[in-house]
Amino acid sequence: MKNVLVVDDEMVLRMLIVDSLEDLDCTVDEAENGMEAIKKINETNYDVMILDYMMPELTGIELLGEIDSDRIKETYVLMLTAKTQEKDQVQAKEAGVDYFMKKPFSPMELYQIVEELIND
Amino acid sequence: MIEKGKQRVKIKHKFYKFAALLLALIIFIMSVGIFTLVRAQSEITDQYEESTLKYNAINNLDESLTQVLFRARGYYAFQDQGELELLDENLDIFRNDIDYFQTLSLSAEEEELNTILSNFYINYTENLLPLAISFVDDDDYESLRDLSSGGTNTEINRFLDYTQSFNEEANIEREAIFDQGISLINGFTTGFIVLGLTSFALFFLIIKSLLKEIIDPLDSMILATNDLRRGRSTHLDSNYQLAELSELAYSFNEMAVEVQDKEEELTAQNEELLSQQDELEFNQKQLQEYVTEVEHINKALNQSALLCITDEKGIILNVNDMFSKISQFSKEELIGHTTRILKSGKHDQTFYENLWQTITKGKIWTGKMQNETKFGECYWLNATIVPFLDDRGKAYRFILIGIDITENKRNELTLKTLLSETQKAKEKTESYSNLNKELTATVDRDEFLDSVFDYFKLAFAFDKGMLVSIKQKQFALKGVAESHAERFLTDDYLEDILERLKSESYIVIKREAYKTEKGISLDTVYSYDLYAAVKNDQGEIELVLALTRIGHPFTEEEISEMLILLGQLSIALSRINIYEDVQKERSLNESIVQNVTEGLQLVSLEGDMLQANDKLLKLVDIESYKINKTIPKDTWINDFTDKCKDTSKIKTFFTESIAPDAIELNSIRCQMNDDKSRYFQIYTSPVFIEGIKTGTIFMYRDITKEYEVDAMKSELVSTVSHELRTPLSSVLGFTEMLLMKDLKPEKQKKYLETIFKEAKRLTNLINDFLDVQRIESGKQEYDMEELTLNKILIEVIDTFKHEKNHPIYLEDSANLSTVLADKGRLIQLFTNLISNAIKFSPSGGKIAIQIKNKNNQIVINVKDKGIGIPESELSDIFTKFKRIDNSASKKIGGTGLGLAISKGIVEAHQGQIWMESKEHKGTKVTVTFPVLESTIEDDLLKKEFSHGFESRGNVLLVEDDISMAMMLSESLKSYGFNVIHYLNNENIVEIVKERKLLGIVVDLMLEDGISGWDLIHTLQKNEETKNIPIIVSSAIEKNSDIITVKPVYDYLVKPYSPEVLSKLLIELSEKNEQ
Repeated sequence: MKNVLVVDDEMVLRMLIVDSLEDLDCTVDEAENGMEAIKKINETNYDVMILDYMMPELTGIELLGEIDSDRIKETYVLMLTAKTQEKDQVQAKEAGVDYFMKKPFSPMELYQIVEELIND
Repeated sequence: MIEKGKQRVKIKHKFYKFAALLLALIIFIMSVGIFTLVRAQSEITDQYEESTLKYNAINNLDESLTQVLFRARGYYAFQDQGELELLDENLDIFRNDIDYFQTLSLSAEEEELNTILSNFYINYTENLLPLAISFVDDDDYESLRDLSSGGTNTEINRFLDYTQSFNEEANIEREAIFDQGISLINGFTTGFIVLGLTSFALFFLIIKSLLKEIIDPLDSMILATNDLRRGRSTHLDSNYQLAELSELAYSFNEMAVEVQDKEEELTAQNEELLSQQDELEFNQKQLQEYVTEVEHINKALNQSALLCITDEKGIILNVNDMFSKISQFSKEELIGHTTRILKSGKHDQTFYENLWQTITKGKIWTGKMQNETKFGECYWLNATIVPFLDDRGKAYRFILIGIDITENKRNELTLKTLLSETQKAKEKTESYSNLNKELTATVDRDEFLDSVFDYFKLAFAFDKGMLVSIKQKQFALKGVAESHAERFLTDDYLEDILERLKSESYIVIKREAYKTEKGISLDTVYSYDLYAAVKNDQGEIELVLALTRIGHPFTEEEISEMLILLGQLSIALSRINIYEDVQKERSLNESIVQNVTEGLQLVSLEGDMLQANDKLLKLVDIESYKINKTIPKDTWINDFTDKCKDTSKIKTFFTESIAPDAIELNSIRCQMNDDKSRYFQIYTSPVFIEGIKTGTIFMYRDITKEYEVDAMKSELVSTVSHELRTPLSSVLGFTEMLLMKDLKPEKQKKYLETIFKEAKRLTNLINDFLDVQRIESGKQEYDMEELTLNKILIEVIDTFKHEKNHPIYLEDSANLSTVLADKGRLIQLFTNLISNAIKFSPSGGKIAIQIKNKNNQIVINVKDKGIGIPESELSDIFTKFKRIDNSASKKIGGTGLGLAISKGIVEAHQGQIWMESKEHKGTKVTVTFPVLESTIEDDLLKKEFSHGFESRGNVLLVEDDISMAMMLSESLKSYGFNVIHYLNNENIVEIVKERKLLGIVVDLMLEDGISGWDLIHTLQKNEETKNIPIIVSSAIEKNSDIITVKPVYDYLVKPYSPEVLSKLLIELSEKNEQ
């Protein structure tokens, strides 16, 4: 079983992501904020991380900065963001983000991407 | 010569006199000295002798007294008669001694002593001794001892003391006398030595002066003799003091004079001879010269001069060729005629009379004369007429020698005219050049008029006139009163002239002179008025020259000269115009530069700062720089860049822009280092003069505002986009899920609910956002009306009454609560505040709202017991999209616009809003509004009916009919009660516990089917609340069993007057007081 972590401060969005991934053969964990996410990452090896960019306390990028870079390399990081600017994407890539999804996103598309990543 | 009357002294006599005088002086001084010495010596000897005598006498007295006493004691001791006799003897001796002592010259003390001794002697011989003897005889030694101690001894002792002291004194005195003697002798010895030396010195001086008197004249005599020997003239001053010398000198002088006289005589004779010889030689030579000269003269005369010889009557005897050539008469025509033939008639009669008189007197006449040729032409002669005299001195011939100076004369005349013309021209040129200078230099219009007109006055003759500047209404005047000139300026006449001058270059008007111009002249006099104009480049008339000349017309020449001059004035004027324009432009530019909101700076090619406007210095905060003062390149660049964050980048920008090859426009953004964190955009532009870069202009624009707006805008966009995208994601995502997946009905419903909620959130967000935009842009329209705030509050609270976890109550103590406000906005405001309070106290808790008056303000507090706000965030809590960035608040959600909107609304109502908060404790928002002025007085009147301001106590009003609640509370407040409204049905105990209550008014029929009875029962069950009096307010008639419920104090049936309730409560409060 693969492990997926969803980090988003919006409960509704977490619910949407979790529900859209429910048909996948994987365990989906949720984290409401950066601190919670770090705690979970330390406990579990996640294959995929779905991160919201804009979160209080720690942004998605800041969160990545807190995680061991080797761990990030082993994990596919998918970022959901409203920021569409080139420079934001460059910055995110440097921090270890592999894929971007622009908000609002399609749950089906998300499903497909995560499915691909899990099976990779 | 010896001067008469002056007493002269012979050397011999003088010497004798001196010697005798000196001798007499010495003898006199010596004899006086010796005499004094002898006298002093004898005086000292006398003193010494006297002292010795006194000394001896006193010693004798002493001895004899001692003897007496010794003998007396001997007698007393041994009763030996022999001793007694010796005593008698010694007494006699003592007596003699006293007598002797008395003969000496005595001092007062000695005199007294002597008396004492005499008395003692008498007393001793007559009383003491016989008594003592009798005691001795009677062997009565007792009495004898008494006697001897009876006082006699004191006198004796005194004497003995005296004797002793006298001896000492006498010794001292004698020594002093001896010393005196010695010093006297010393003094005299010194005196004699001094006298000897003085005499010698005196003698020496006298001899010296005598010698000088003799030797000086002798010396000068030797010198004089030497002079005489050498043949120089000499004279001795014979005026000597000493007769012999004077005589000698006199004789010498006589001799010298005689010798000199003789010598001179010889020399003179010799010279005479020599000169006679010279003269002879000279005469010979002269004669020869004369001969040659005469020959030359004759020749020369014939060549150049006119010669005419007449007899004594003036009849021409002969003339030379020259004469006939000049006069054009032949010799034959002249000879035999008088000179009258030559006269031109240009000289008057006296000229010829003078001439004739002079020459007939035998004197030579010279002068210039004008004659006439045969053909009547004039010619000038420089003539000399020499009379030849016979033996009787009478002239018998006249010779005229003349030189033709006609040409000279003519030249002279021409020269004279030329000179005067040149002088005139020179003067004119000078003043003209002055004028030119003036014209080119003057930029002042006033000065210009005056100086130009001054030139006109100088260069042209006219009697009166003026130069008028038409536009400026200024004038320069001559002979015209200022008032007259002013009148002229407004005269129609001037208009006509101006009109004519437009087409004509000048106008001259000839007219009959005015009386004032004419003066005393009886004839008709004409005046000539000349008008001419100076036009500018556009052909408009700038200046008008008006001149009047009385009696003489202006010549063509003058006029043309004037016109030329006026032409130049026109050029000068246009120059002044240009200057004024430039000046205007310059000051305009300067004021633009100083007043623009941008900082401006001009930098030279070398990079030095030449100029900067005030604004710049203020912008960069270097006000120590003086405007227009050159600041070296490095100084200003360093000073400026020190104030920037990115120093090196800005420095490079400056350096590159200043470089001579930098010709591009450029700009840079720069953040200042100061606490205001301002931003500048610095623009650079090279300055070119004729295609060559001469410097650089820097313009500094403060773009802080724009920058901030920019930053805010991008932040806003990003926030809004984020805020919008989140609900949008939910809506779209769940819709997609619904569409794409087969879902269970429960899930479907859940998704739909979520979609609905999120869509609503989206709508709220958009609404709030639009509100904020409207409020901030000032486009929000407010529909102001008179409103009662507490009523609105109750209405708003009423909408929240279903909040089970948040009991809301309103404590109303505001007697004045009328405001001018937009009802919809106020409702929005209070809704915002209350929903915030609810939202941010997620675990429930009372929400206390208070409305009260303070200084004509209505103050409203909304207090919750929620999560609170960290202090650091409080300051910009009212900024839009400001939400506290923590998960606790994140969970709560919201647009982050509520408070910004609230603030906008409050400020639109001239109110204030602020927030106090403590994290985890709760938040208190305070809003104030000014009471509507016009209601203040009414409300105050109302207050006067109320019973003082002191609160009578709190009354809890549980009434959900808002108009009823308002009516009751207004009445209660006017009686000084503090009303607490409570609209919820639950949690009443908590509220009741909150405050000390005077009473609770409960409506029995509450909404939602909850009965007031339930409330009453709840209260009754609680220990803390069961004793609070309850007044039931109900529409239902009361049942009999109601009153039996203990805390129900009274039962009021609606409708009742609010006064009834108030009175009931007053009753209660009075009861409480008891």
